[in-house]
Amino acid sequence: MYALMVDLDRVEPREARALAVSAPDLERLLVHWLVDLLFVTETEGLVFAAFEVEVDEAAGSLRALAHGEPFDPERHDAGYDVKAVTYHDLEVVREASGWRARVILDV
Amino acid sequence: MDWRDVIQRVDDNRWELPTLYKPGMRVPARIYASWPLLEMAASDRALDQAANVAFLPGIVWRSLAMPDIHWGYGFPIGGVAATRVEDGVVSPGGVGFDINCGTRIILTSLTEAEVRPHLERLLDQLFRDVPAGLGGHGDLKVSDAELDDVLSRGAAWAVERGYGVPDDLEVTESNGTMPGANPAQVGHRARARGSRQLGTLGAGNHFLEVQVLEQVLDRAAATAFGFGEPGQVVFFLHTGSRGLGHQVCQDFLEEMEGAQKRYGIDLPDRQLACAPIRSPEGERYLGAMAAACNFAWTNRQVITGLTREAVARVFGEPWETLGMDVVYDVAHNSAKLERHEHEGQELDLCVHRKGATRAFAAGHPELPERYRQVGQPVFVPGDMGRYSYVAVGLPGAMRETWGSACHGAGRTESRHQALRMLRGVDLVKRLGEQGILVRARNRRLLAEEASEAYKDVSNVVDVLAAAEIAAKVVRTRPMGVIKG
Repeated sequence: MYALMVDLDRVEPREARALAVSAPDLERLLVHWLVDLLFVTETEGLVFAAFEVEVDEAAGSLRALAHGEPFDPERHDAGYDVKAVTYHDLEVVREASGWRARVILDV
Repeated sequence: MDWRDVIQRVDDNRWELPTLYKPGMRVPARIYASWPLLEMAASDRALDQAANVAFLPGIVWRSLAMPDIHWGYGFPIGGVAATRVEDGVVSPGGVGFDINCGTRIILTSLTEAEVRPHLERLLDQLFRDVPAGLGGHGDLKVSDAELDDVLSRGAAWAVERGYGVPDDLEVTESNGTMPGANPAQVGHRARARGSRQLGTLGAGNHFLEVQVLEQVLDRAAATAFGFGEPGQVVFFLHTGSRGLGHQVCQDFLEEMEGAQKRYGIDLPDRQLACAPIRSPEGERYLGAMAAACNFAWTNRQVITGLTREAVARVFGEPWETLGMDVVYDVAHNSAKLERHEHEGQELDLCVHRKGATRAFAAGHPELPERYRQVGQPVFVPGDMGRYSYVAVGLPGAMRETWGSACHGAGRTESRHQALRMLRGVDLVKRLGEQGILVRARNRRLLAEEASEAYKDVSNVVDVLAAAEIAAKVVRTRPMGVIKG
């Protein structure tokens, strides 16, 4: 999501935001978390490039720490304005090499 | 089932997918398109989406698709569907994320020759005064109490605050105030996102363009709308409800999914999630959506005020003497409760228009008095490299499309494909050579908005005219473009 908005390589981890969400399934958990991040970005002007995520699938909860800094149009090479996180073709699957998720954003 | 096997030709500009196309369709899907436009729509699954809309409980007559139809979430963009208020549903997917996004044209008495020498300065001024793009927020910050007022009253709030005159409201759809707004249903997140976004353009396909009247195609209607001779400069604005509207849609998607299950409604696409209009969920959504509509109209009204001030500063004259009256403001993402005559009966309907505008014909009581003998102005923007049209609603729209027409050219290429096609092309330079000056926050993504990414809007309005939905009035071309 942030790769669409900014050049991630140019985002420094100067500030962190802790977010916790809960949902009945992994797909919704992902959407809720992204929605929360988007809210922080739009209201506080922060963009993030590194994340520490902890998921408790049984409890349906996610706790994450997002690292980033205030958005700077000069330095961050602004890209898309992400409007919303959709449920279209939403997918979270476990594969041999790890997790793969597909989420479609409205830009 | 392949659409080609079942598509029925009504005439050259009307095609129908019968209910046998997908078991569960309650009515056929009708697409207004020429054959080439129809094939384009089919290539991105938009036809399938028009068929899916036909599953909605309470849908009347047809699931309709305008000639600019392309793929959207749930409903196709360019989709129109009316559901019975009594026993039908409302679907946020039939409105979209950018609630009440719309267009507005502001006239001037200036000519291209008068503006050209000042164009750089004018665009710089507009670019400063109307924030655009990612992270763009305005100088106008509203408190929560003021926001309640915005959400209840819409553009009238902005006029009171000095961003316009009462006459602007006369020529705004629904006078810039959507009835039935319920600010209490707009959550704290939507409010927080919107509190600093009044008077901002946003990104993507939103724009503020300086355009030149190029051709007058219907003199009488053009005069009624305030257009003069070719060479006249006008401002064309396209924006919506910004983060507030996006968040309202986001907040209701999940609620609607739950509601749909509870009410036992079976639909082929999760993004069509809906609830009965007469249900707590349906009423909550309609109240929140109407509030977001009011936010969008306020936003366009504030930008109108900022634009007038910017022009007045550059030309050293008050905007009133520069003839900066609003032609009209028409919305293209909403669900409105309207009464329509259908097969000899008066029906109370919820008309979903997603990427489709109203196109009321002459005589409709909701039209401002000055246009009642002529019909409603319909704005069909093309792309930033070619031209746009102003049309007028015709009786055919009242007979067949619940008084609706298309809202633009529609994409031919996905945004991604457009970027690939134009890699290495300096679009700002190319447009400059055409005499079109561009100010964009993001030059990298500008290619998504290039002419190559869009259908030729002429082909689209030709269908409207042939189907007697809307007739062409004037054609304009851009000379200055502000983009996010």
